[in-house]
Amino acid sequence: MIDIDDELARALARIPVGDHAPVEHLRGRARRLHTRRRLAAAGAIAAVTAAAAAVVVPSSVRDGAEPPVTDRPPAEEPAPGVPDVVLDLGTLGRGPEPAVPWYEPAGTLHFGTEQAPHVIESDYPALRRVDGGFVVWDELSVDQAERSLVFVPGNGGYTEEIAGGPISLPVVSPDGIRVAWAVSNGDVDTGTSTSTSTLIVADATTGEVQEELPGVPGSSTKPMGFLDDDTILVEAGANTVSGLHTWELGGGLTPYRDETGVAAVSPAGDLLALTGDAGGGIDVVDVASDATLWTLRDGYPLAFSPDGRYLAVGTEPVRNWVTPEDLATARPGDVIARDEHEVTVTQDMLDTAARYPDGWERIEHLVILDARTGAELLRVEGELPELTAVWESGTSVVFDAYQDSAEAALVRCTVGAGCELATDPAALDDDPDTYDVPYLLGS
Amino acid sequence: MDEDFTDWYVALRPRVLRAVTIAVGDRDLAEEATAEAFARALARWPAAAALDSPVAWLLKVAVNEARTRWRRARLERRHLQRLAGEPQRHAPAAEPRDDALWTAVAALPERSRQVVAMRYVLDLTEPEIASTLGVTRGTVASTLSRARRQLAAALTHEETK
Repeated sequence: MIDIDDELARALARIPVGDHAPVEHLRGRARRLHTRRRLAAAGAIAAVTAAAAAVVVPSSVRDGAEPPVTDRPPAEEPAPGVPDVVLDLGTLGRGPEPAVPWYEPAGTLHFGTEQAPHVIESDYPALRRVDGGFVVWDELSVDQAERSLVFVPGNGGYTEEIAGGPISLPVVSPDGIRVAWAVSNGDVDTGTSTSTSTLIVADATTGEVQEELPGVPGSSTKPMGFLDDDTILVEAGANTVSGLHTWELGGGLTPYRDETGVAAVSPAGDLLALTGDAGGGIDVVDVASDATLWTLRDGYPLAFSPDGRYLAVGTEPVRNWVTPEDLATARPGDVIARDEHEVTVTQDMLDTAARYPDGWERIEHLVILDARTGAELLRVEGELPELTAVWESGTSVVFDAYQDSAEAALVRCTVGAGCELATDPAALDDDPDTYDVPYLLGS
Repeated sequence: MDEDFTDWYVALRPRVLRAVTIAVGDRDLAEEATAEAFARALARWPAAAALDSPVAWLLKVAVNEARTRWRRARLERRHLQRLAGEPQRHAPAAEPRDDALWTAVAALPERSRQVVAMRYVLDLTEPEIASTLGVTRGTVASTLSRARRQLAAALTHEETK
């Protein structure tokens, strides 16, 4: 009789892996870690000064005193700004539970004070608020054919599967009643000239299909947002067809703009953040006038606020490719270049690196900008490894924050009113190298 | 000290790399993540040698490293302009072996792949896996049961070819 466990163990042992790598190639990596720890000790005094001042700095709207990000020179990566708030989970006050859906990987979905048992398989689910609850997009495996979209009622009722298979991330109509996605009819990873997608609009709670557009070129063509209740912005990222199109429900696709990607769509569909302009920045576009309002040159848009007044942006104060050796002798004004990257050293960058010598690659800034001008209103610094920001009101944004890779919490920051905890901090693994993710806001 | 680490590395790397490869489903990513895990062990040597279960620790560090790289890639894709073409996914590119078993392994959910790697490559017990992943023993058992069914079907398929 065959023992399936033994058989599996033997079979898995036959899966080929890489050749033996000599131990010498580890020494450079280990030296880098040692260097960071030495710098951590050396930078402790500066860090204490900065942190003591920063954690209690009240956030305030700057009345446009800070030059817009767009005014910075485009030829080089711009300098990071000085944060208004440096997060310290130990000193933040506790606010109410998030008014946006979030997930506790032990298997619980939270929505305000409501909880629903639900298991999400992926590290990168999408949780979208819809009328009456929220929809959850999950990757059940790395096989793109195994994705699912379910409706979870906010009142704790039965979960309803809306769709499954090779489906794209969902987008929700402004009224929260409908949800749209694409079904890939080809291989997303390779794509072929004959690959197509089917665009679908369905009831967000039942999955009943209301509109369908089959045979759209490109296996990864997908809806990126509703421009209004009856018009959807579609990104065609295929080799055979690219650019942005609009889909007026009941009709076909209409070419819209040549940009190749959509970074964010405001909930009302009146503002877009588009990638692919000639200068490499991200254009913020007013849909009604078709005018580019300003161009973001530092960071990546995360989400527009519900009324489109603000844009949350994530950015790295010290680029993650910069090494301790790069900064060991660097002075403000020096240029660090590697491969296709280039950055001009600033004092802010050196100060940030000194505050986090043991892992500045984990440090991000969450920046709130005026969506129509690009003027900076709030800059928050912290360990934001997930860097997912979800607006819960017209002025408040919720995001994941870590502390010394030892604990994590969801944090709420409000324009003009500072930051607070939206959940209690949860302890991560004792070992900073093996942390887990206790909270997920989804993408 | 260096000799001790070298011996430790040579002894553990093949098994850890195989486990990481199965856990992350991508050979190139697994090699990078495994190297980072061993570098972190070297940076804290000799304390790393005293870990209760060094292979489980190395696997977890490597999986976290892989996740960080996926996350970075995802953020960078948002940041960088997208070229006209099919967008990349964080899903595995290089596969160790294009056979039914590997396909079945790669198709497992991430958590299942980690459990399979720990059970069948690292030879950890269910309680040890539960402790490492921070889940209940029941979750490990049910995850293993599902994964076992899927992989056994792939094995049967291979044998009948």
